[in-house]
Amino acid sequence: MLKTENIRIDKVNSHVTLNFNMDMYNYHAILQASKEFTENFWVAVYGSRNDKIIINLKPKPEFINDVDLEELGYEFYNYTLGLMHET
Amino acid sequence: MKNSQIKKLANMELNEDENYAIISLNPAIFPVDAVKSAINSAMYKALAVIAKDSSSEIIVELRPKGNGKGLEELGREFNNWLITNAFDKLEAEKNKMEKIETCHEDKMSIIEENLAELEKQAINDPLGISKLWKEA
Repeated sequence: MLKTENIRIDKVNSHVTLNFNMDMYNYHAILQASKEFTENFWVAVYGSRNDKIIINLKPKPEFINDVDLEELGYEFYNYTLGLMHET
Repeated sequence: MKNSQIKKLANMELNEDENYAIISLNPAIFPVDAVKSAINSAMYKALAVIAKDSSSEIIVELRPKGNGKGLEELGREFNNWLITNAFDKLEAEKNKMEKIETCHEDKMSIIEENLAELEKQAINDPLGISKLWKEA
């Protein structure tokens, strides 16, 4: 398992886990990004809304071999920040 | 007694031996309404039970019907439905609030216009009733 501060990659189970500090990120933007990612990925949202929301992303079977999990994690962070900037 | 192996993945606990998945949800992240809608979406492929645990998390138990999909896929699909439902409800609520605010603003501007008109009429005093009786 590769581990950075905010992105944890589990290559065995092909999923990536992200930590969102709720002092920095907006709940609405996280939920909107999650919804948009559900098209190609399995997304799980858990944790605490006041402290830290955790996002777990796993590519759907048809994309599982084409996705770089680390890039996917950073892409999700970027997308969420983009949504926060829009609102 | 047989010890079943439980696999933990994200917010899911998967019991492959007994063929069920437990999904733990924070009600501050997902309102109960959104959880119920997601259960409705899952009903045609799984049997579902909803409960609350001691830490007041919402617990959803899913058992695939017949020879359905694997437990992990069922749990992950449920999470996706849940996100879609929760976001749609959040948006609907936001739109409703915006509508109420717009309606309130419209009403306030009509009231302000009417007040301004009344003030104007009072200044014009077409009936001459604003003069003191001594001046009249």
